[in-house]
Amino acid sequence: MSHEPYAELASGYALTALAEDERARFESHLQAGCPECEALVRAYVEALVGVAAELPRTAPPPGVRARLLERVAADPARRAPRPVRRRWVWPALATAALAAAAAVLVYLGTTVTELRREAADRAREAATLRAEVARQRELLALLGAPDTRAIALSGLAPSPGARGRMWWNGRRAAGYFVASGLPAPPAGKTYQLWAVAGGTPISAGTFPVGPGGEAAVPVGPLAGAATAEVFAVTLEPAGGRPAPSGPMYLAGKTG
Amino acid sequence: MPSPLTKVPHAEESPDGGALIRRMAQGDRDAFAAFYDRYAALAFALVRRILVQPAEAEEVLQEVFWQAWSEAGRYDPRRGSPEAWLLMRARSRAIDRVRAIRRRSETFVAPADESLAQAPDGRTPGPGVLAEERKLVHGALARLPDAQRRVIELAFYEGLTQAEIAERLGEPLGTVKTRTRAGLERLRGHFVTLEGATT
Repeated sequence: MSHEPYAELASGYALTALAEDERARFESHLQAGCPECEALVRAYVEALVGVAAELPRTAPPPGVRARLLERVAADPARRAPRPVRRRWVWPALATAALAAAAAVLVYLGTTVTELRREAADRAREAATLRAEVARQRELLALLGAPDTRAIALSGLAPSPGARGRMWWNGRRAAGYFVASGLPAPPAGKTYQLWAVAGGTPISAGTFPVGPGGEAAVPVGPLAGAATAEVFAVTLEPAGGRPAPSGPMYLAGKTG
Repeated sequence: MPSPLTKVPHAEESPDGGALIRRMAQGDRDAFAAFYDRYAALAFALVRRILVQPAEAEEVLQEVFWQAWSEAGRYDPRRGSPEAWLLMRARSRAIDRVRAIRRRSETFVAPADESLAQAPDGRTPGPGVLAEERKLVHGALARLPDAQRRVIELAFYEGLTQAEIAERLGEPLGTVKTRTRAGLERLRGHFVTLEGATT
């Protein structure tokens, strides 16, 4: 069983640049115990620290230091170090109740600052979720509007198995496009969505596809596209083009 | 052991970074102030390089040091130097912030005006990054062949995965992996040589 693949993963790991499955695999390897890989990762990280230390230094504004010291001063006077899980040795009397009591003591031993940090994390999560909810509400309003139409797009020669649907509201010139079965674009290329009004294709932007070839793209309001009746997806060079130039993968029209 | 690569003025007079962190874990606020004074400019340089906008960089720096105070009890000197502990956390937070900014600017409007269509999607470097690149690249990174330097910069400063780097550069993933490893090996060798020269 060659160790070489892990040595190769070590550099990507030090840069936190591995794909999720690779990261998990490498971490299992470390957890199984590999001093060689641990030393390799440490050495790479220290080299990156050396690189960062060569960046031009600027002092942060004094306000940052002052605010931090205030917060630290307001923290509880004595912070207990992280609680050590002690093994309670109760010979014959070790019962589930005692184990539960020990668990409660460890929990209560959690420092106030750890709970505060969790609260700060929750507050950040809540803000992100609120923004997400606002976006979802907008989307639901669009989909629920009585004059929103669904236009089916069929896969063309390059991807006959692909499917798409454009939920289009002409009055708002806005919509929501979903697709599935699109092949992963080759390097340097990307998919681009078009709304065609009066024979003129209007770009609705480029979009990425997920691992299953799926995509979901909010669109608009798109100037000049209120009367669009045809929608299409083409494959363009990365960054997109002002007008379609590449092969068409999906197309459909109203009516 | 402190990293010998990040010589700080008056390092000999002030306590070891690891000792400061241990004292911070006990609630020693003076140790925190000393820790900040010792490492803030170092961490800020990295956060600014990643984030560019000063206001965002200041906020992230604040979070990083607060986190250092809160989590000082988790520092394990066997796993790396105090500099590595602080800077890798600073980098993570800065990259998280960059990603959040990128996500915010990607949602919704697909403008018909094509000049606006080059929306900030993380692909076009902002003016701050271009200005950085125009400055002479000094030090260890400059010694790398361009191809290796590029992949390491994209991973380290922009937080891209190797797959994203491959797409950005139009290179196969295998090539990116090979260059990353070769580049890090060179950097490691460079700093080991430096360490030998300065001790």
